[in-house]
Amino acid sequence: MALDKFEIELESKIDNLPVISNFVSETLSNFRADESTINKVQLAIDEASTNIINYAYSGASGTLKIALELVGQDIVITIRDKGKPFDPMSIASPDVSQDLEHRKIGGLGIYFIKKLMDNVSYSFDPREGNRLILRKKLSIGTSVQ
Amino acid sequence: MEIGEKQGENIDILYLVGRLDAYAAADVEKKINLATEKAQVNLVISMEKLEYISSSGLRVLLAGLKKARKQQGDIRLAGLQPYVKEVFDIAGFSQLFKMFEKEDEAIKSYSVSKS
Repeated sequence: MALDKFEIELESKIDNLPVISNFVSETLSNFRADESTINKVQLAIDEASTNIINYAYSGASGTLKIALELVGQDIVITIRDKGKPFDPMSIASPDVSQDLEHRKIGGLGIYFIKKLMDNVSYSFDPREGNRLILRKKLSIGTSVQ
Repeated sequence: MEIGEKQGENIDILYLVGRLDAYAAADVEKKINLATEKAQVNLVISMEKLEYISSSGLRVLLAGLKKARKQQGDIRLAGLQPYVKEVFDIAGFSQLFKMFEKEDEAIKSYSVSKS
């Protein structure tokens, strides 16, 4: 029987981003997701993790938990941390049609998450900390292993 | 990530290899800052071997582009892989940068557009 839930817990450090990325691609290959889905989920989780490391923990040490689960036709991603309350949805999206002079540097990470995922929800609990749930429909890849 | 460099007479080239995430962005930022210290930089960034880019990488490129253009210079990109190009498109960055399929074309473009 195939496993349908994978979890990783690691220290909130920017050096861990490649580790997270490998975990995501291995797990999604296991779910038989196609390459495009893997790329999108990887980017969304990378952006969410970067925000947690830089803002929720402001560079201080802490833990980051990421769970990937297959629920029906959806990949459900749960990202948890115990840093400061940080609601990514509260960050305004940049205007991506602006010319160079007016283009602001920032806000793109959150924009990618909203753009690439089908659904995003955030909650904060004083004991449990921040919880971000992302959902993405699973597209199955054609390659058979 | 690995970063290669080549310096020509009027043109500098950076080669980005691997993953440009928040972890790697600081190193790339240093290289771009160094290049844009020149009075007028003509920089080509070769992305043929760049597999991945996140918003942290885009941020560094955008800051560099703003600086370079202010000094009448430019940062031109070459050889973007389809996935990296897709990220540029979503971010609205494809309209900000001059992009070329091949490194040679990006290099040549500087001699053509010299005013």
